[in-house]
Amino acid sequence: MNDPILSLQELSIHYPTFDGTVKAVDRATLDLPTGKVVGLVGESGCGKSTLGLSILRLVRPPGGIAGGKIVFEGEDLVKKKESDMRAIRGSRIAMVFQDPMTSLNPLVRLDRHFLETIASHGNGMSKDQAMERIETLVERLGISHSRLHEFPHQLSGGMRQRIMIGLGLILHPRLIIADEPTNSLDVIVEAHFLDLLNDLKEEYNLTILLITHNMGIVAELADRVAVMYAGTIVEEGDVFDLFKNPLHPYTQGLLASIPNIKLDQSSLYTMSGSPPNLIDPPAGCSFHPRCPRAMDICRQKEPRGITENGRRVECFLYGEGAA
Amino acid sequence: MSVQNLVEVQNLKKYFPVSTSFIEGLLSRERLFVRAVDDISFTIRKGEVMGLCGESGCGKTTTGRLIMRLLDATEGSITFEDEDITELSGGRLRRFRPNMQMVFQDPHASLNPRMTVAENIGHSLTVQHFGTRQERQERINEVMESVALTPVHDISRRYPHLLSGGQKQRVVLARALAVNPKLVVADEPIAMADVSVRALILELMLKLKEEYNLTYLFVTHDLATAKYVCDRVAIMYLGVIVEIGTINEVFENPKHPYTQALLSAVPVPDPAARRQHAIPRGEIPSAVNPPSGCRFHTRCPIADEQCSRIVPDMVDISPTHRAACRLIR
Repeated sequence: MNDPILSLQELSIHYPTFDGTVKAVDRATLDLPTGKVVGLVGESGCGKSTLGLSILRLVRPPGGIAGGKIVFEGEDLVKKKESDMRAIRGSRIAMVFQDPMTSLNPLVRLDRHFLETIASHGNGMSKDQAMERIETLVERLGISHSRLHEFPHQLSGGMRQRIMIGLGLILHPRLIIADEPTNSLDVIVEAHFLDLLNDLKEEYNLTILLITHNMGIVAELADRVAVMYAGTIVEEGDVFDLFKNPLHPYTQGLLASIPNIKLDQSSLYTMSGSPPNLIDPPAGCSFHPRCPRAMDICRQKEPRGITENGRRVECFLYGEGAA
Repeated sequence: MSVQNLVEVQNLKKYFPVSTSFIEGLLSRERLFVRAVDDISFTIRKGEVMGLCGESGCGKTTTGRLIMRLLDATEGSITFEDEDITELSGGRLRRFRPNMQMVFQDPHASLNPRMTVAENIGHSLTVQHFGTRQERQERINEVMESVALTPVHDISRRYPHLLSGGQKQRVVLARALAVNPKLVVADEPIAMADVSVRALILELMLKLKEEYNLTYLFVTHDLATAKYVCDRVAIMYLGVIVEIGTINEVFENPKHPYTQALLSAVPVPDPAARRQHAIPRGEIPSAVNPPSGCRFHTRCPIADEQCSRIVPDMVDISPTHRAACRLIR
């Protein structure tokens, strides 16, 4: 495995509330190998979006980074000044959000969206140069450059989402964080978008962090998968290995509970309970109240740093402590 | 399964007028309509789960609401157990309503936040003048047990905001069951639920179907879920049904190019089954001015010049499987 472009080390994000501190992300460790697509999956509220935002230091106050490191190309982003972060956002790390309708300004024509992005990073490009670059990129995304004079509402949902990825790519970033990028799209348009993302990855030598709750999208596009539960990454590995042989009981349950169009399933696995409250998560392993294989140790001790055959899996069923 | 039909839908249409300005009205421009449902016919058999699938804007939700009589049809008829319910209104419609209940997508928005769980479930019983107070209470407890909202005495006094998403959807199911319906129209009942809760709701719905002798109309965009729960399925595109048949027929042997495209686009949760081939381009056109001829011809990979002129008829592929495409051999 080549050097990771981004490496999260023991990263914690906390939100203070009147009821107590919400540990949205709790000592998460994750490497994004250069040129790979890493799928970050989990249910709503597991902290996956917060984790994505924190890489760009965009977590809104009062929430904030409570500890850990975000090492991007050798530099710790946690220690960066806000002005330095601004230079990184967009030009070296870009973000694609899930809802293009609320992420694009409805009163601004599409070309201005691009020009503003370029101008805000002051890399001394003339307007003609910038327009040329924008037109080339937009055509590459399958949208006629004549439509750049239109407003966001004049485009279809799929086109808006392609404009969003275009805005992300215009400054040639190294890393793209895509948070549920296909949530608002229909299946056929979604499939096109995933194909496009895959092609762009090769052309622009991108690394992509793909945040989603949809296991199907991860299976389609990702090289590696990280499964998140209650603020922690509970399992992480190669996409083929992990889907073929999930180790963590949560991953196993998740995969067994999804309807698969290619299979004839006589029943689906039903997981008991619901995700925990992150203010006061269960002691020990946060999954133990829902786990069919919970042991005594799971209620007392937190599983950390456990690996099985080279795959990280935070569960006492594996590693040295295995019963 | 008996082959008796519970619901028969014939040549059903629903056109929504596009609102125009006062001045345009004066200029007496031609009125525009969104043809949300444009001449569809199908049946729902007693005891089956009938799926209604398609992309957003295809008319599947409108169809569900028309059958529920939440919307009035522009044309066509809906027959429920040999009774034409298309024109029912007022007291007769209200007395008919317990036969059909609906489960909506967002359980949180479907429950009255100022009523307790028991009040929410019992409300339809009160509206329908069901039994005595004591009998209503017993009925509420009974359906809550069925959907596993236990301990009943504890949960029935709670307000919706104190429940988890999965529990809320169970309250919605219990409320639908309370009046003893024959048909339940479920419109994307799991779309808002967490991944780990979805399977639970689906399994519960299938269990309740047996327990209460229900028939479901299951409206969804998620074909994998449809394959799991449905016995038969109708695929809709721009207000029309393009293919209808049993789950096996439609999913294993899709005949309409749109069904084929839709099925191949579904992401499969297995990296070993990654999609290898391309799928047709483009997005669903506007239902205000749908394409002439076959509505799918603008995106169809095999369309010829005739397709833009001739509206395709439904072709019988088997006694239970039909598709609307001229080019089916």
